[in-house]
Amino acid sequence: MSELLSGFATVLSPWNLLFAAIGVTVGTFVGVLPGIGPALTIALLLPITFSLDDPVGALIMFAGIYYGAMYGGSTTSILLNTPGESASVATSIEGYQMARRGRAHAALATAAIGSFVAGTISTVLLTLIARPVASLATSFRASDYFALAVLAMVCVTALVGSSVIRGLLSLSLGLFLGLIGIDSLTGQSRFTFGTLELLDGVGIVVVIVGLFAIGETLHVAARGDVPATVEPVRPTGGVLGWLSRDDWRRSWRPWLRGTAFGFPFGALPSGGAEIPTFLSYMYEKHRARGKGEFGKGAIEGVAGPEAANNAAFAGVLVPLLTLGIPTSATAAVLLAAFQIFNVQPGPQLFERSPDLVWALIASLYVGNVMLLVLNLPMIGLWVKVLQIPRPLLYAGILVFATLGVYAVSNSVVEVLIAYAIGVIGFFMRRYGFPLAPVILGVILGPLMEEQFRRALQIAGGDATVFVTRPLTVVLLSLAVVALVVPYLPGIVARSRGRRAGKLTFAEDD
Amino acid sequence: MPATSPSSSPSAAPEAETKTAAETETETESVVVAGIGPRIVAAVLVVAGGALAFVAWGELDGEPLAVGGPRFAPLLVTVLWTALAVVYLIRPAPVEVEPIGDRRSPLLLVAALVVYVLLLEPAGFAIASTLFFVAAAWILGSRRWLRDVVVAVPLAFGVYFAFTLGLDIRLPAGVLPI
Repeated sequence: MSELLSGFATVLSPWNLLFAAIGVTVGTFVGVLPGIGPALTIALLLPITFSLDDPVGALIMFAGIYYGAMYGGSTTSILLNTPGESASVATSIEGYQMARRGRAHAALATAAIGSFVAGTISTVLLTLIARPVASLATSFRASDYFALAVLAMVCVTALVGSSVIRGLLSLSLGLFLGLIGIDSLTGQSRFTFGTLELLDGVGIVVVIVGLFAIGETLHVAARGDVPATVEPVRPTGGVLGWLSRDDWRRSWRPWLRGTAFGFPFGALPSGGAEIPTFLSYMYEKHRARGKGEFGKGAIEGVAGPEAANNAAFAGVLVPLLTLGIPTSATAAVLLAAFQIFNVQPGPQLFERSPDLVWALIASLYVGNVMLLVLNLPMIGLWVKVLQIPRPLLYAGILVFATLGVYAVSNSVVEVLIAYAIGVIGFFMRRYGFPLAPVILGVILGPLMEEQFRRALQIAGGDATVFVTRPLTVVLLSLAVVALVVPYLPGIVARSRGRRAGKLTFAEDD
Repeated sequence: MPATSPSSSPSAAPEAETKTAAETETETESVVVAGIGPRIVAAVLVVAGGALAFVAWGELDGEPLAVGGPRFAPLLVTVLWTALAVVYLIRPAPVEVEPIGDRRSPLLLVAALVVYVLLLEPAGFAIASTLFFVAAAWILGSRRWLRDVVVAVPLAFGVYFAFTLGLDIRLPAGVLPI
């Protein structure tokens, strides 16, 4: 607890509060743009943190950007019915219906307050379990890390998207991209085709910007008839009294239930927020049976999934911070952001730089409050952002995508690689290949390989190390189960089908 | 992923209004298998995977393949890729593919992007971005030149100065004396 307090002491300096405020505002601005989810938002905004010398300030800004991007995403889902990431799809179903019926304010408010409640509760949970999990993780061996990375990748591949084989092919592409460059253990070059530019490998920012920003824009262009503007459903009425007494009464239980879905699913390697948001949506729908309000804008259908979405983020931070294993695309780009500032998450992080960890956790609380205070009153501004004419919006996204990659790499070749990945992303979108496994493959592949080879080295080349250590065996068996589950008929297949059908933009989390 | 229109075109909106959630559900569960497209994709994947596996084999350089060595993972990944692609070629999973409304625009956009990045260093970020922004907006259907230029110039120069002066990130100045 005292560690958390000292974390707050760090965060609550005027400069850091300013960073949090900037992060939340910029994050919302970018997140509200249709088609841009949190992972792409963070990737595009990475350069603005480069001038910060202090990693604490940068991490605080990332926390703000992340929360802002999430909130921006739910705003777009509700007002425009274009979820920017798969985790917002559930929100858009009821949220857009509420907005159409003139209840946009109530939907936005229950989303924001629900996110705040869920974010706060789950950050408390993260605070409580982070240290125990980290000390547990110190007993993990290389083979366990290998198995964990396999499990995380397989879960995302098998549970997200509409076809396991397409997911596995996406994963192969990601693993291949992750292999390009110099081998970390022996220094030998792989898949560099004799070029110097590929020696450093293909960065995660290049992949994310290519797949999500370039790919998405090409996809929009190919569909033709880009609408000049899309009129969002405007919230009407004053800021006060957004939620009636009845709205509060109907919202608070879904908020708590959503949190209960979100945090554990986020903490487990199950692909982040997508599954818990849909479970929450389905559960609230099930509870409301007979009232006939679902499908016509039931506030529970917004309150639950939004809470689950936000709670899942704090959950995702558990494996990310304590084990250094990202379990969603957004976590992967956060990990890349940490690494730029020479912060390597994992059990040692809690030993080596506890001040940093606790400052980050404290900044989650601050980012959460900041979001509520800054963003609800600024909703009019975000609606204006949605009215930017589409051709200009996408032209701007392409400029910022190019700028983002160039600012990170200072290399024209890297930008061209991002474009090429964008073309691949366009075809993946068209032919139903999920994008998240690519990201996970790029970031987890090298980690997995390193741990695999290290485990072999430690065992003196004896491959039975992967079948004799109980934890390793359990994790690997779970990975096999995750691959089989989608073939079982019933609820998983149904929810997957719906998700795949309803999903409109980059599935990005 | 490639299902309903992301930009929720105005024409689709009234239709959505009359639909209950249950109807939406059944509607999106219907899956259209699109003609030859997925098979072409699968064939491309087989060829690409095979070629990469060949490269990975070549990188072995005659050394014996060691499971703990640096050459094992590239070979494993590319061989698995090829095998999965072959399975997908034989039995492509059903997928709903939208018809392409516009073949020209994506190609033009890619060409514009390449010209943009090649101009970035010689012409400078601000000029290249201004030109690209206007061109991309035109390709994407905007026909209001003047408005686009009025947006592009402050955007490109604003970003340039914000990054170079405000954030200390070097961007190419190019031909402009700035």
